[in-house]
Amino acid sequence: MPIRTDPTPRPVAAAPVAVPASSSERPAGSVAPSAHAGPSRPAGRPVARPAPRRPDPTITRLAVAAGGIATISALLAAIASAAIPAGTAAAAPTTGTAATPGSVQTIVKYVYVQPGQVNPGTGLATVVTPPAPLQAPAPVVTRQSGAKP
Amino acid sequence: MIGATAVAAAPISPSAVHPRAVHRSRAMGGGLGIHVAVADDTALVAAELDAARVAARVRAWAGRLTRHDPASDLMRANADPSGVVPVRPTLAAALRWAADAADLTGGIVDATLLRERLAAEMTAHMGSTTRSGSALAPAGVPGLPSGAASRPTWRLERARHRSAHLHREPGLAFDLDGVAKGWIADRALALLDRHPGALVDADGDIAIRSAEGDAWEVGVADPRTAGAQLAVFVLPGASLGAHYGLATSGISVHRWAGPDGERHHLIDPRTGRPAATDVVQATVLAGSARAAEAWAKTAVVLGLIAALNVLDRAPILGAILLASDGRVLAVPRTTRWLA
Repeated sequence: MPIRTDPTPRPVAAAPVAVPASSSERPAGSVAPSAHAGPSRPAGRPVARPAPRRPDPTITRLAVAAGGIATISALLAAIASAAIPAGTAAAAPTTGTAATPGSVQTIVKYVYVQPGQVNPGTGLATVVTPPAPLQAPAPVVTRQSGAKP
Repeated sequence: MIGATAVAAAPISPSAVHPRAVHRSRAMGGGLGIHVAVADDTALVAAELDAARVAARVRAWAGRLTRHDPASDLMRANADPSGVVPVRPTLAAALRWAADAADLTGGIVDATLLRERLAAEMTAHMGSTTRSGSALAPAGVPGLPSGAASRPTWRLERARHRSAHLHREPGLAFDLDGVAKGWIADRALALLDRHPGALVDADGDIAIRSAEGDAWEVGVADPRTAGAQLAVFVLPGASLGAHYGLATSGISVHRWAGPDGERHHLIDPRTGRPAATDVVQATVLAGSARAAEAWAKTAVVLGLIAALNVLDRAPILGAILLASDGRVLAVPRTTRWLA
């Protein structure tokens, strides 16, 4: 059976992104630096009211990133499945018998030993993968009985 | 027969690691080559002596199994008119393998086709050569012919000292031919067990034992061009010695003119006539020479499409077929062993 190859690039796991630690993630007992921290003010002076605390954006960012990755993965998977027919090797003209709907069982009956030859058109599956050209003749030879060396 | 011995102190192929002693002579109507791989050069002389001794044994076995000598065990059994014939150990062992080969190949390998073969070699009309009283065995491999009415009408009964009694229909004659060559190659190889590796070339049917770290290279002759090779097998060794068999069968060497065209020597047991085939030559790599020979012959007799179907399921390591239109095809697993 040919080995299936999938040339489609797969999404690589995103590198960890440094996310500023929120106050809620700090260990208990630690002191959070205040936005207004500074030298102590003299008593009796008016104090500016702190701005209302905005929600921590980290959770939202993580959710958006995860959704994006999932969407891209789904798209790539769909493209890959459409580009490579099941059960065939790239550039391998094959025929086969369908075992079950949706799957193809490829039956490779023979390969060509010499390059440059055409498919025989026998109805059998073929893979055109000629081995390397012949090297120097081997010293021992199998031949038909009675054949002259 | 005179054997010409040459001691090879250097490896004889690029893949060889061990030095090899080579003994070449003639036997079975063709060439006999016995190659012995040794651990070092000091063992070459002993290996040469062993190779010569094994060559003598091969000639003795062949002399008992040939159809070309009326005094051979085979031809004396063929000439015996009785239905039960005592046979000596060598012929008994070869006939046992012939029975196994018939089972293995669904009856395509049939050692009882001597009369059909002799008829094919004559230029007389072939109409009366269809055999009777013999039929194909049940198929052992899917794709082999089946549905025959009965088993071949002969059997062996064991007797003392590895001899046997051959029970057969009177007149049934045997021709072991390639069956014997593969069997002899395997048996001769077993006599060389004390050496790290060995190769016995019985006129093209080859038995090989390859030592760990070593390898044997064997070419496949191209019958279309003298000296050319279709492919080269490289057979590596294993720790306990890897055993291989390579054999080639075909219709391009033994051919002659008949009244209705050319004939050849491979008889299709289903018709009793030379096989109508589009396979010019088949080479099979298997675990033994006798199995390789049986499957190679089967491939030629069946023809290209049926052969590919059968070889795809057969217990072999690979096969290379030369089709009559010039295509050279191999079952896919073959490529693992090619140079």
